[in-house]
Amino acid sequence: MKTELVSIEKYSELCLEVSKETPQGLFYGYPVGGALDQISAKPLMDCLSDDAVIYEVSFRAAEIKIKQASWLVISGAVMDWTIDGDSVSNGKIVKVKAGQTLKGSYAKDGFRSYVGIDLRKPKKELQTKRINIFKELEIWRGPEWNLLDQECKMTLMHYQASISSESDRQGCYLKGEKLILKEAFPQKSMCTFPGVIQLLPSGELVILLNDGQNTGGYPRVAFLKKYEISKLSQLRPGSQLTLNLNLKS
Amino acid sequence: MNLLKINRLEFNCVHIEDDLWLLQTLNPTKKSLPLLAEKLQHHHQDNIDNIVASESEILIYGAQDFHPRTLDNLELGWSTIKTQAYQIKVNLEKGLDWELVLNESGKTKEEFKTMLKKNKFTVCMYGFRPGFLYLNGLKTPYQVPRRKNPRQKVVAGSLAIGGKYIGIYGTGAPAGWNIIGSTDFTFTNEKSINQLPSINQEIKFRFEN
Repeated sequence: MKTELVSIEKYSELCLEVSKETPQGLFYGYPVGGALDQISAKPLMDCLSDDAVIYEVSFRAAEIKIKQASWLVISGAVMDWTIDGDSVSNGKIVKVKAGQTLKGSYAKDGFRSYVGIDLRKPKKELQTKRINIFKELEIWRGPEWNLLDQECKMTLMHYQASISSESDRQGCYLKGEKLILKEAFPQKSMCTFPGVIQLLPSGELVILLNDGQNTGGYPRVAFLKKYEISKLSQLRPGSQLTLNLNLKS
Repeated sequence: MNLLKINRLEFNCVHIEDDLWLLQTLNPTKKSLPLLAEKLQHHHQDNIDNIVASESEILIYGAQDFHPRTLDNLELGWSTIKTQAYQIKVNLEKGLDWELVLNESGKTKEEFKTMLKKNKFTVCMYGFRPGFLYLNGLKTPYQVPRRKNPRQKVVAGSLAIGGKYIGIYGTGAPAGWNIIGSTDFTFTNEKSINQLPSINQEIKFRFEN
Protein backbone atom coordinates (compact mmCIF):
# COMPACT_ATOMS: atom_id res chain seq x y z
CA MET A 1 0.00 0.00 0.00
CA LYS A 2 1.43 3.34 -1.06
CA THR A 3 0.10 5.21 1.96
CA GLU A 4 2.04 2.92 4.30
CA LEU A 5 5.35 3.68 2.63
CA VAL A 6 5.84 7.24 3.92
CA SER A 7 4.23 9.97 5.97
CA ILE A 8 4.62 13.71 5.45
CA GLU A 9 5.65 15.24 8.78
CA LYS A 10 6.11 18.91 7.77
CA TYR A 11 5.23 21.27 4.93
CA SER A 12 2.75 18.83 3.42
CA GLU A 13 0.95 21.76 1.75
CA LEU A 14 3.95 22.15 -0.56
CA CYS A 15 4.04 18.48 -1.40
CA LEU A 16 1.74 16.79 -3.91
CA GLU A 17 1.64 13.12 -4.85
CA VAL A 18 1.74 12.83 -8.64
CA SER A 19 0.71 9.87 -10.70
CA LYS A 20 2.40 8.31 -13.73
CA GLU A 21 -0.95 7.01 -14.94
CA THR A 22 -2.91 8.50 -17.84
CA PRO A 23 -5.45 11.01 -16.48
CA GLN A 24 -9.13 10.14 -16.75
CA GLY A 25 -12.41 12.03 -16.86
CA LEU A 26 -11.31 15.19 -18.67
CA PHE A 27 -14.67 15.17 -20.48
CA TYR A 28 -16.39 15.69 -17.12
CA GLY A 29 -14.10 18.51 -16.07
CA TYR A 30 -11.21 16.70 -14.41
CA PRO A 31 -7.83 18.42 -14.92
CA VAL A 32 -4.89 16.75 -16.65
CA GLY A 33 -2.88 16.81 -13.39
CA GLY A 34 0.46 15.05 -13.06
CA ALA A 35 3.98 16.41 -12.73
CA LEU A 36 4.50 19.92 -14.11
CA ASP A 37 8.17 19.45 -14.94
CA GLN A 38 8.14 16.38 -17.16
CA ILE A 39 11.82 16.87 -18.03
CA SER A 40 12.71 16.12 -14.40
CA ALA A 41 9.83 13.83 -13.45
CA LYS A 42 9.56 11.49 -16.42
CA PRO A 43 13.03 9.86 -16.17
CA LEU A 44 12.39 9.37 -12.45
CA MET A 45 8.96 7.83 -13.11
CA ASP A 46 10.42 5.59 -15.83
CA CYS A 47 12.92 4.05 -13.45
CA LEU A 48 10.40 3.34 -10.69
CA SER A 49 7.78 0.61 -10.41
CA ASP A 50 4.04 1.27 -10.65
CA ASP A 51 3.79 0.95 -6.87
CA ALA A 52 6.23 3.78 -6.15
CA VAL A 53 5.15 6.99 -4.43
CA ILE A 54 6.22 10.12 -6.29
CA TYR A 55 5.93 13.61 -4.82
CA GLU A 56 6.24 16.98 -6.48
CA VAL A 57 7.72 19.26 -3.81
CA SER A 58 7.50 22.98 -4.54
CA PHE A 59 9.45 25.90 -3.08
CA ARG A 60 10.68 24.19 0.10
CA ALA A 61 11.52 20.61 1.02
CA ALA A 62 8.89 18.70 2.93
CA GLU A 63 9.86 16.48 5.85
CA ILE A 64 9.11 12.92 4.78
CA LYS A 65 9.31 9.99 7.18
CA ILE A 66 10.09 6.61 5.63
CA LYS A 67 7.88 3.88 7.11
CA GLN A 68 9.26 0.83 5.29
CA ALA A 69 12.71 -0.09 4.01
CA SER A 70 12.71 1.16 0.44
CA TRP A 71 14.64 2.96 -2.32
CA LEU A 72 14.83 6.70 -2.88
CA VAL A 73 15.55 8.76 -6.02
CA ILE A 74 15.30 12.55 -6.40
CA SER A 75 15.27 14.85 -9.44
CA GLY A 76 14.41 18.46 -10.29
CA ALA A 77 15.16 21.52 -8.18
CA VAL A 78 18.10 21.48 -5.79
CA MET A 79 16.77 21.40 -2.20
CA ASP A 80 19.83 20.03 -0.37
CA TRP A 81 18.01 16.84 0.54
CA THR A 82 19.39 14.74 3.39
CA ILE A 83 18.34 11.41 4.87
CA ASP A 84 19.06 11.45 8.61
CA GLY A 85 21.71 14.08 7.92
CA ASP A 86 23.41 12.31 4.99
CA SER A 87 23.31 14.22 1.71
CA VAL A 88 21.22 12.79 -1.15
CA SER A 89 22.19 14.09 -4.57
CA ASN A 90 19.85 14.22 -7.54
CA GLY A 91 19.66 11.08 -9.63
CA LYS A 92 21.40 8.81 -7.15
CA ILE A 93 19.64 5.64 -5.95
CA VAL A 94 19.70 5.49 -2.16
CA LYS A 95 18.60 2.60 0.06
CA VAL A 96 16.60 3.89 3.04
CA LYS A 97 15.48 2.22 6.26
CA ALA A 98 12.18 2.39 8.10
CA GLY A 99 12.18 5.31 10.54
CA GLN A 100 14.61 7.50 8.61
CA THR A 101 13.56 11.06 7.73
CA LEU A 102 14.11 12.96 4.51
CA LYS A 103 14.63 16.70 4.95
CA GLY A 104 15.91 19.59 2.88
CA SER A 105 16.08 23.32 2.33
CA TYR A 106 14.28 25.96 0.32
CA ALA A 107 14.68 25.41 -3.45
CA LYS A 108 18.01 26.75 -4.66
CA ASP A 109 18.28 25.98 -8.37
CA GLY A 110 14.75 25.61 -9.67
CA PHE A 111 11.42 25.51 -7.87
CA ARG A 112 10.08 21.93 -7.95
CA SER A 113 11.79 18.78 -6.79
CA TYR A 114 10.58 15.22 -7.48
CA VAL A 115 10.98 12.57 -4.80
CA GLY A 116 10.37 8.93 -5.68
CA ILE A 117 10.17 6.20 -3.03
CA ASP A 118 9.84 2.58 -4.11
CA LEU A 119 9.88 -0.81 -2.40
CA ARG A 120 11.65 -2.23 -5.46
CA LYS A 121 15.13 -1.16 -6.46
CA PRO A 122 14.92 1.38 -9.34
CA LYS A 123 16.10 0.11 -12.72
CA LYS A 124 18.95 2.58 -13.14
CA GLU A 125 20.39 5.86 -11.89
CA LEU A 126 19.09 8.99 -13.58
CA GLN A 127 21.24 10.47 -16.33
CA THR A 128 20.03 14.06 -15.92
CA LYS A 129 21.36 15.03 -12.54
CA ARG A 130 21.68 18.76 -12.92
CA ILE A 131 18.74 21.03 -13.55
CA ASN A 132 18.91 23.80 -16.15
CA ILE A 133 16.97 27.00 -15.62
CA PHE A 134 15.58 28.63 -18.75
CA LYS A 135 14.13 32.12 -18.69
CA GLU A 136 13.23 32.20 -22.38
CA LEU A 137 10.24 30.14 -23.41
CA GLU A 138 8.91 29.40 -26.86
CA ILE A 139 5.22 30.03 -27.59
CA TRP A 140 3.00 29.22 -30.57
CA ARG A 141 0.08 31.18 -32.02
CA GLY A 142 -3.19 30.24 -30.33
CA PRO A 143 -6.63 29.88 -31.93
CA GLU A 144 -7.51 33.53 -31.15
CA TRP A 145 -4.13 35.03 -32.09
CA ASN A 146 -5.71 37.00 -34.91
CA LEU A 147 -7.99 38.85 -32.50
CA LEU A 148 -4.94 40.77 -31.26
CA ASP A 149 -4.18 44.03 -33.05
CA GLN A 150 -0.89 44.37 -34.91
CA GLU A 151 0.85 46.21 -32.07
CA CYS A 152 -0.12 43.56 -29.52
CA LYS A 153 1.00 40.80 -31.88
CA MET A 154 4.40 42.48 -32.11
CA THR A 155 4.53 42.79 -28.31
CA LEU A 156 3.69 39.13 -27.82
CA MET A 157 6.40 38.02 -30.26
CA HIS A 158 8.97 38.88 -27.57
CA TYR A 159 7.00 39.33 -24.39
CA GLN A 160 8.78 40.17 -21.17
CA ALA A 161 6.99 39.58 -17.91
CA SER A 162 7.38 38.44 -14.33
CA ILE A 163 5.57 35.57 -12.65
CA SER A 164 2.93 36.75 -10.19
CA SER A 165 2.82 35.40 -6.65
CA GLU A 166 -0.82 34.38 -7.29
CA SER A 167 0.45 31.58 -9.54
CA ASP A 168 -0.10 27.96 -8.64
CA ARG A 169 -0.54 24.60 -10.39
CA GLN A 170 -3.76 25.85 -11.98
CA GLY A 171 -2.29 28.84 -13.70
CA CYS A 172 0.80 31.00 -14.02
CA TYR A 173 -0.24 34.67 -13.94
CA LEU A 174 2.10 37.04 -15.77
CA LYS A 175 2.79 40.67 -14.93
CA GLY A 176 3.78 42.43 -18.11
CA GLU A 177 2.58 44.90 -20.70
CA LYS A 178 -1.20 44.75 -20.99
CA LEU A 179 -2.63 43.55 -24.28
CA ILE A 180 -5.97 44.32 -25.90
CA LEU A 181 -8.18 42.70 -28.50
CA LYS A 182 -8.97 44.55 -31.72
CA GLU A 183 -12.58 43.33 -31.59
CA ALA A 184 -15.02 41.99 -29.00
CA PHE A 185 -14.69 38.32 -28.27
CA PRO A 186 -17.90 36.28 -28.20
CA GLN A 187 -18.87 35.07 -24.73
CA LYS A 188 -18.63 31.37 -25.40
CA SER A 189 -16.59 28.66 -23.75
CA MET A 190 -13.99 26.67 -25.65
CA CYS A 191 -11.54 23.85 -25.03
CA THR A 192 -8.38 24.64 -23.08
CA PHE A 193 -5.34 22.57 -22.18
CA PRO A 194 -2.15 22.91 -20.10
CA GLY A 195 0.01 25.54 -21.74
CA VAL A 196 -2.79 27.65 -23.21
CA ILE A 197 -2.20 31.39 -22.73
CA GLN A 198 -5.46 33.22 -22.07
CA LEU A 199 -5.89 36.96 -22.33
CA LEU A 200 -7.93 38.15 -19.35
CA PRO A 201 -10.33 41.13 -19.59
CA SER A 202 -7.82 43.08 -17.47
CA GLY A 203 -5.28 42.78 -20.34
CA GLU A 204 -3.05 40.40 -18.38
CA LEU A 205 -2.02 36.93 -19.47
CA VAL A 206 -2.43 33.65 -17.64
CA ILE A 207 -0.81 30.38 -18.70
CA LEU A 208 -3.04 27.46 -17.72
CA LEU A 209 -1.13 24.61 -16.08
CA ASN A 210 -1.84 20.94 -15.34
CA ASP A 211 -4.46 21.54 -12.62
CA GLY A 212 -6.18 24.25 -14.63
CA GLN A 213 -9.60 24.19 -16.20
CA ASN A 214 -10.22 22.29 -19.45
CA THR A 215 -12.79 24.70 -20.88
CA GLY A 216 -12.83 28.47 -20.65
CA GLY A 217 -14.13 31.64 -22.20
CA TYR A 218 -11.12 33.91 -22.39
CA PRO A 219 -9.35 34.18 -25.77
CA ARG A 220 -6.48 31.73 -26.28
CA VAL A 221 -3.95 34.01 -27.90
CA ALA A 222 -0.98 31.62 -27.72
CA PHE A 223 0.20 28.39 -26.13
CA LEU A 224 3.27 26.61 -24.79
CA LYS A 225 4.09 22.99 -25.51
CA LYS A 226 4.81 20.48 -22.73
CA TYR A 227 8.59 20.94 -22.87
CA GLU A 228 8.16 24.67 -22.28
CA ILE A 229 5.74 24.04 -19.37
CA SER A 230 8.50 21.99 -17.76
CA LYS A 231 10.88 24.92 -18.08
CA LEU A 232 8.28 27.38 -16.78
CA SER A 233 7.47 25.23 -13.77
CA GLN A 234 11.02 25.55 -12.46
CA LEU A 235 10.77 29.36 -12.32
CA ARG A 236 9.67 30.76 -8.98
CA PRO A 237 7.12 33.57 -8.49
CA GLY A 238 8.81 36.91 -9.09
CA SER A 239 11.11 35.50 -11.79
CA GLN A 240 11.48 37.43 -15.02
CA LEU A 241 10.87 35.56 -18.26
CA THR A 242 10.59 36.18 -21.99
CA LEU A 243 8.08 34.49 -24.26
CA ASN A 244 9.35 34.20 -27.84
CA LEU A 245 6.89 33.41 -30.62
CA ASN A 246 7.79 30.51 -32.89
CA LEU A 247 7.50 32.18 -36.26
CA LYS A 248 6.63 28.94 -38.03
CA SER A 249 3.48 28.50 -35.94
CA MET B 1 -4.22 17.04 -42.68
CA ASN B 2 -6.36 20.12 -42.06
CA LEU B 3 -9.94 19.16 -42.86
CA LEU B 4 -12.01 16.17 -41.87
CA LYS B 5 -15.64 15.14 -41.70
CA ILE B 6 -17.33 13.34 -38.83
CA ASN B 7 -21.09 12.72 -38.83
CA ARG B 8 -21.14 14.94 -41.94
CA LEU B 9 -19.84 17.91 -39.96
CA GLU B 10 -16.71 19.57 -41.32
CA PHE B 11 -13.83 20.25 -38.96
CA ASN B 12 -10.59 22.14 -39.20
CA CYS B 13 -7.99 19.96 -37.54
CA VAL B 14 -5.20 21.74 -35.64
CA HIS B 15 -2.23 19.72 -34.37
CA ILE B 16 -1.23 21.28 -31.03
CA GLU B 17 1.60 18.83 -30.26
CA ASP B 18 2.42 15.11 -30.11
CA ASP B 19 -0.83 13.58 -28.93
CA LEU B 20 -3.02 16.67 -28.81
CA TRP B 21 -5.43 17.63 -31.61
CA LEU B 22 -8.03 20.41 -31.72
CA LEU B 23 -11.02 19.94 -34.06
CA GLN B 24 -12.93 23.15 -34.80
CA THR B 25 -16.26 23.14 -36.65
CA LEU B 26 -16.08 25.06 -39.90
CA ASN B 27 -19.75 26.04 -39.80
CA PRO B 28 -22.04 26.82 -36.88
CA THR B 29 -24.15 23.79 -36.04
CA LYS B 30 -27.07 23.02 -33.78
CA LYS B 31 -25.77 19.48 -33.36
CA SER B 32 -24.15 18.79 -30.02
CA LEU B 33 -20.38 18.30 -30.27
CA PRO B 34 -20.16 17.03 -26.67
CA LEU B 35 -22.59 14.24 -27.66
CA LEU B 36 -20.40 13.46 -30.66
CA ALA B 37 -17.28 13.56 -28.47
CA GLU B 38 -18.79 11.05 -26.05
CA LYS B 39 -19.45 8.71 -28.96
CA LEU B 40 -15.96 9.20 -30.40
CA GLN B 41 -14.31 8.28 -27.13
CA HIS B 42 -16.60 5.29 -26.69
CA HIS B 43 -15.89 3.96 -30.21
CA HIS B 44 -12.15 4.69 -30.08
CA GLN B 45 -11.29 3.72 -26.52
CA ASP B 46 -8.04 2.15 -27.66
CA ASN B 47 -6.59 5.17 -29.39
CA ILE B 48 -8.24 8.14 -27.65
CA ASP B 49 -7.07 8.61 -24.05
CA ASN B 50 -9.20 11.62 -23.29
CA ILE B 51 -11.57 14.02 -24.95
CA VAL B 52 -12.87 17.49 -24.08
CA ALA B 53 -15.69 19.18 -25.94
CA SER B 54 -17.30 22.59 -26.20
CA GLU B 55 -20.13 23.71 -28.46
CA SER B 56 -17.75 24.38 -31.35
CA GLU B 57 -14.65 22.28 -30.68
CA ILE B 58 -13.44 18.83 -29.75
CA LEU B 59 -10.02 18.42 -28.13
CA ILE B 60 -8.53 14.96 -28.46
CA TYR B 61 -5.74 13.52 -26.28
CA GLY B 62 -4.75 10.66 -28.52
CA ALA B 63 -3.02 7.46 -27.50
CA GLN B 64 0.42 6.75 -28.90
CA ASP B 65 -0.60 5.74 -32.43
CA PHE B 66 -3.60 8.00 -32.85
CA HIS B 67 -4.05 10.09 -35.98
CA PRO B 68 -7.25 12.05 -36.71
CA ARG B 69 -7.39 10.73 -40.30
CA THR B 70 -8.83 7.55 -38.75
CA LEU B 71 -11.90 9.65 -37.86
CA ASP B 72 -12.43 11.08 -41.36
CA ASN B 73 -15.85 10.28 -42.86
CA LEU B 74 -16.91 8.48 -39.72
CA GLU B 75 -20.67 8.12 -39.20
CA LEU B 76 -21.58 7.50 -35.57
CA GLY B 77 -25.14 8.81 -35.55
CA TRP B 78 -26.52 11.00 -32.78
CA SER B 79 -27.56 9.85 -29.33
CA THR B 80 -31.14 10.04 -28.21
CA ILE B 81 -31.86 12.59 -25.53
CA LYS B 82 -33.30 11.87 -22.11
CA THR B 83 -36.83 13.27 -22.11
CA GLN B 84 -37.26 13.49 -18.36
CA ALA B 85 -36.17 16.83 -16.88
CA TYR B 86 -33.47 16.89 -14.19
CA GLN B 87 -34.67 18.77 -11.11
CA ILE B 88 -32.39 21.20 -9.27
CA LYS B 89 -33.41 23.16 -6.16
CA VAL B 90 -32.37 26.84 -6.19
CA ASN B 91 -32.01 29.57 -3.60
CA LEU B 92 -31.26 33.05 -4.96
CA GLU B 93 -30.56 34.61 -1.57
CA LYS B 94 -26.93 33.49 -1.57
CA GLY B 95 -26.05 35.29 -4.80
CA LEU B 96 -22.82 37.27 -4.41
CA ASP B 97 -23.07 39.34 -7.57
CA TRP B 98 -26.68 40.53 -7.71
CA GLU B 99 -25.74 44.21 -7.67
CA LEU B 100 -23.54 43.84 -10.74
CA VAL B 101 -25.95 41.47 -12.52
CA LEU B 102 -28.97 43.73 -12.01
CA ASN B 103 -27.00 46.83 -13.06
CA GLU B 104 -25.68 45.18 -16.22
CA SER B 105 -28.99 43.62 -17.25
CA GLY B 106 -31.41 46.32 -16.08
CA LYS B 107 -33.65 43.52 -14.81
CA THR B 108 -35.01 42.89 -11.31
CA LYS B 109 -34.27 39.90 -9.14
CA GLU B 110 -37.92 38.89 -9.41
CA GLU B 111 -37.65 38.92 -13.21
CA PHE B 112 -34.60 36.65 -13.00
CA LYS B 113 -36.52 34.30 -10.73
CA THR B 114 -39.48 34.14 -13.14
CA MET B 115 -37.12 33.59 -16.06
CA LEU B 116 -35.34 30.71 -14.27
CA LYS B 117 -38.72 29.13 -13.46
CA LYS B 118 -40.26 29.44 -16.90
CA ASN B 119 -37.47 29.17 -19.48
CA LYS B 120 -36.17 25.90 -20.83
CA PHE B 121 -32.53 25.16 -19.98
CA THR B 122 -30.51 22.23 -21.27
CA VAL B 123 -27.05 20.90 -20.46
CA CYS B 124 -24.90 21.83 -23.45
CA MET B 125 -21.49 20.77 -22.14
CA TYR B 126 -19.43 19.76 -19.12
CA GLY B 127 -15.96 21.04 -18.37
CA PHE B 128 -14.04 23.71 -16.54
CA ARG B 129 -14.04 21.78 -13.24
CA PRO B 130 -15.31 18.33 -12.21
CA GLY B 131 -19.10 18.32 -12.35
CA PHE B 132 -19.48 21.84 -13.75
CA LEU B 133 -22.62 22.13 -15.90
CA TYR B 134 -22.96 24.58 -18.77
CA LEU B 135 -26.62 25.28 -19.54
CA ASN B 136 -28.03 26.80 -22.72
CA GLY B 137 -31.26 28.75 -22.83
CA LEU B 138 -30.40 32.07 -21.19
CA LYS B 139 -32.13 34.81 -23.20
CA THR B 140 -30.02 37.78 -24.33
CA PRO B 141 -31.46 40.41 -21.91
CA TYR B 142 -30.34 38.27 -18.99
CA GLN B 143 -26.83 37.62 -20.27
CA VAL B 144 -24.06 39.32 -18.28
CA PRO B 145 -20.33 39.27 -19.14
CA ARG B 146 -17.88 37.32 -16.99
CA ARG B 147 -16.17 39.14 -14.12
CA LYS B 148 -13.03 41.09 -14.93
CA ASN B 149 -11.17 39.46 -12.07
CA PRO B 150 -12.06 35.88 -11.14
CA ARG B 151 -12.86 35.05 -7.50
CA GLN B 152 -10.36 32.73 -5.83
CA LYS B 153 -13.08 30.27 -4.81
CA VAL B 154 -16.84 29.73 -4.70
CA VAL B 155 -18.62 26.89 -2.94
CA ALA B 156 -20.00 23.75 -4.58
CA GLY B 157 -23.55 24.16 -5.81
CA SER B 158 -23.16 27.84 -6.77
CA LEU B 159 -25.42 29.05 -9.57
CA ALA B 160 -23.81 31.53 -11.95
CA ILE B 161 -24.17 33.52 -15.16
CA GLY B 162 -21.24 33.79 -17.57
CA GLY B 163 -22.13 35.43 -20.88
CA LYS B 164 -24.69 33.30 -22.70
CA TYR B 165 -24.54 30.41 -20.21
CA ILE B 166 -26.01 29.52 -16.86
CA GLY B 167 -23.40 27.55 -14.92
CA ILE B 168 -23.62 25.29 -11.90
CA TYR B 169 -20.46 24.58 -9.91
CA GLY B 170 -20.55 20.90 -8.92
CA THR B 171 -17.41 21.40 -6.83
CA GLY B 172 -15.79 24.42 -5.19
CA ALA B 173 -13.63 26.28 -7.71
CA PRO B 174 -12.17 29.64 -8.73
CA ALA B 175 -14.93 31.55 -10.47
CA GLY B 176 -14.95 34.17 -13.20
CA TRP B 177 -18.74 34.03 -13.48
CA ASN B 178 -21.38 36.07 -11.64
CA ILE B 179 -22.81 34.12 -8.71
CA ILE B 180 -26.58 34.56 -8.41
CA GLY B 181 -27.52 31.80 -5.97
CA SER B 182 -26.96 28.34 -4.59
CA THR B 183 -28.37 24.94 -5.54
CA ASP B 184 -28.58 21.45 -4.09
CA PHE B 185 -26.43 20.13 -6.95
CA THR B 186 -23.03 18.75 -5.92
CA PHE B 187 -20.46 16.47 -7.47
CA THR B 188 -18.52 14.41 -4.95
CA ASN B 189 -16.16 12.17 -6.91
CA GLU B 190 -15.81 10.00 -10.03
CA LYS B 191 -18.77 7.91 -8.86
CA SER B 192 -20.96 11.02 -9.27
CA ILE B 193 -20.40 10.94 -13.05
CA ASN B 194 -23.25 8.46 -13.42
CA GLN B 195 -25.58 10.83 -11.60
CA LEU B 196 -24.82 13.82 -13.84
CA PRO B 197 -27.60 15.04 -16.11
CA SER B 198 -26.88 14.02 -19.71
CA ILE B 199 -25.81 16.33 -22.48
CA ASN B 200 -28.95 17.99 -23.94
CA GLN B 201 -31.07 16.92 -20.95
CA GLU B 202 -33.48 19.60 -19.71
CA ILE B 203 -32.89 21.17 -16.29
CA LYS B 204 -35.86 22.35 -14.24
CA PHE B 205 -35.17 24.85 -11.46
CA ARG B 206 -37.33 24.51 -8.36
CA PHE B 207 -37.60 27.24 -5.75
CA GLU B 208 -38.41 26.72 -2.11
CA ASN B 209 -41.73 28.27 -1.09
